Amino acid sequence: MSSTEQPRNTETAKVSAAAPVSRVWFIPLIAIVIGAWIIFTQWSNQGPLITIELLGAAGIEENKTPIKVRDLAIGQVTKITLKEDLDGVIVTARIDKEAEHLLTENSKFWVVSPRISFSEVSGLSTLLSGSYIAMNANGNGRPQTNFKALPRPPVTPPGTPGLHITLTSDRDFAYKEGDPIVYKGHKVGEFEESFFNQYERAMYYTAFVEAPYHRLITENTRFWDASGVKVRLRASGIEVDTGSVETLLSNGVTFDVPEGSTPGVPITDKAYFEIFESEEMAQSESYRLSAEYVLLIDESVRGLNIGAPVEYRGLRVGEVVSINQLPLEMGSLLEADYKIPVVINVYPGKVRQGDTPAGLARVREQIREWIKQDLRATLRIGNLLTGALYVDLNHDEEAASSEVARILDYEIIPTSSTELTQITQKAEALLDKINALPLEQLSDDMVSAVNQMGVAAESVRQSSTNFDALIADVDMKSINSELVKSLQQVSNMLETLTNTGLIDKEAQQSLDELQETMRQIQPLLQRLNQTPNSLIFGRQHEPIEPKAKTVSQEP
Amino acid sequence: MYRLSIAIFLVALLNGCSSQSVSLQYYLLHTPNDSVSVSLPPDAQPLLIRLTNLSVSDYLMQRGLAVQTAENALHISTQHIWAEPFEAGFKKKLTHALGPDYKLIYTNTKKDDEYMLDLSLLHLVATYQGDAVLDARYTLSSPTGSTVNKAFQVKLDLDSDGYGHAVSVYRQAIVLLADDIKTQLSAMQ
Repeated sequence: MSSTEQPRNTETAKVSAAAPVSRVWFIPLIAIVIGAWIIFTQWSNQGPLITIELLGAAGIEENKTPIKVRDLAIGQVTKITLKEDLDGVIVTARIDKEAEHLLTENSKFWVVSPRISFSEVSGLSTLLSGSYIAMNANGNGRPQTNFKALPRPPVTPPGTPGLHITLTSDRDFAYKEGDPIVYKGHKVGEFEESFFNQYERAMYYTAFVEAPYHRLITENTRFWDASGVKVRLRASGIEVDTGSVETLLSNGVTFDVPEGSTPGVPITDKAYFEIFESEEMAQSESYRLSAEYVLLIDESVRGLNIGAPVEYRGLRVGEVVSINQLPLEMGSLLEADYKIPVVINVYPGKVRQGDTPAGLARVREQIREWIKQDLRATLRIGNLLTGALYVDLNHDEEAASSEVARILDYEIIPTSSTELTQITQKAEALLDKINALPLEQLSDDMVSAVNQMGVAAESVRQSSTNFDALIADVDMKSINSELVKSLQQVSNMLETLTNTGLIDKEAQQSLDELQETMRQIQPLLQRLNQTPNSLIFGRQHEPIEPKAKTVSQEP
Repeated sequence: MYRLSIAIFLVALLNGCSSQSVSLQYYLLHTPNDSVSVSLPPDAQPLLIRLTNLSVSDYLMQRGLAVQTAENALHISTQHIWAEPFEAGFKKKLTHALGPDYKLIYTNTKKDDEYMLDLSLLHLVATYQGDAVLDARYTLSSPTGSTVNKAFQVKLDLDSDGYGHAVSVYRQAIVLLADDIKTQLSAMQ
């Protein structure tokens, strides 16, 4: 187009400002909003991240290993990192939001993997599915996100009805988690945890007794070891103790109330109980108070053990507490006149004085009086098979009265020679008597007697030979012939008598005479029966005799 | 005390020795006075009756005589006694009462041509009502095989007291029993 051209009807262009932002930008904006909403929704719906501290990551895999509550997956392991101090791993896991409220200070985590021991077999299903982290929670407590996993599955799931108790022991036996608590052969609970108190040098165990057996746990309950088979050779004989089959394979404890004791108040809170070595010791410990005495033994104490019975007139009243364990101020075995101190207990409760301070005082006073008079302690043999000794308190009538001696606050019960010593002394006396016997003379006399017996035997043999010769001279045939003839004659005579009826006649006559005699005696017997005194005072005329018929008797 | 005991003993002994014992009275059912000599014609032979069984009540077997003192009570005397066994005396008396036409034999050997008598004497006793009762059951068997069973009972009054009179009444009763047996025998013949 050029400038010469006629202008046409032209319209002036309306110039308007262009839109500052293109509408096309709404598309990414909407996308951003939608994306943000999606992110927010995702963020708001996902559960929290938690960390679980494990000893090792065996069987744990990122983005695969689930976290389960009662076999329901509520989360997944997202990351596994090594702890800085290298003593474990930290597992980070995402928990579903629906399970967030379970993450409290009471939540427990542990790794479920195949586990086989004497007391349990568990987790076999993970052989195919792989290990997983199990969680147990009750929703109570403050929220928490960092946890430390249990080294092994908890023995008792939280919320299980029953009673938690703490058992302690300083003996040479140990229990591990899962070991049973047995009552009369029936498993009623398990050990849960154990820890060693280095200051007390004792083990403490947390155990759980299931309901309803937890009602058996009272304040007077005693626990004692029931592990394996226990064979004891004691003064009272051989004792064999066994628990259940489980305690035969592993350790275990059992419990009961001591004989003669009342059960007491049931335990409701966590309580402490001592684990005794045996039922016997548990029973003995039922008496709280005891009077302790010392025996100074100047002979061998071989066969005397701690716990050996102390008896008075055959009844057990206490036990041996220690042997040669008093402080060194007492002296030592290297000294020539050293007497071995043996500490014994006498329980007031066992002599029916009551397990009270008053009963203890009465027992002390009485034994003090007896010691002044004639009470002596003697070690006696309780079991000939094992040679076990026990302490016998007895009254020695030949003992002289003496004051009560004391040593280290212990009153001393004088001792008399032990039964073994007495037996030895008697044996020695017997041997002395045997040695004093004129054995040589006895031997000579016995030889002489044997010689004389030989002569006598020869004489008997000669007499026998003579008798045989005499018998040989007897004409047995003629004697037999005479005997046969005589028997024949006797037979003929008897036959004759039988045929003539003489024997029957004589017998009948004798019977008749006997009968007649009895008839003669009969009135006398009747008279004696009716009036025995008639032999002395004579008899009266009989008032009874037949009466004539009177007119009144006429029909 | 010692002297008193000896004195009592001597008094009792003296009393016993000085007491006169009561004499025993013996009785016979069959008396010698019953034996009467009877001459039979030479061709007249008594009919033999074999007593196959004689059972007597137990109280009659006693040595003492019995007397009935109440309905169910007996008294057996210790002073009045039979002089011979009751069974023997009864046989003698019955034999005598059956004679002279009949003769009672006692052996057990049975013969077919003999009459047999089985007699049970239930009672022969003086009663408290003044009677003497004889109660018997007997069975007669003839050689022909016919048999008669008879219950015989007779009650005779006692005219006076005492066992002696009672025994005499017993004899009369046995005679009546013999007469009854003879009557039956005659009928069987």
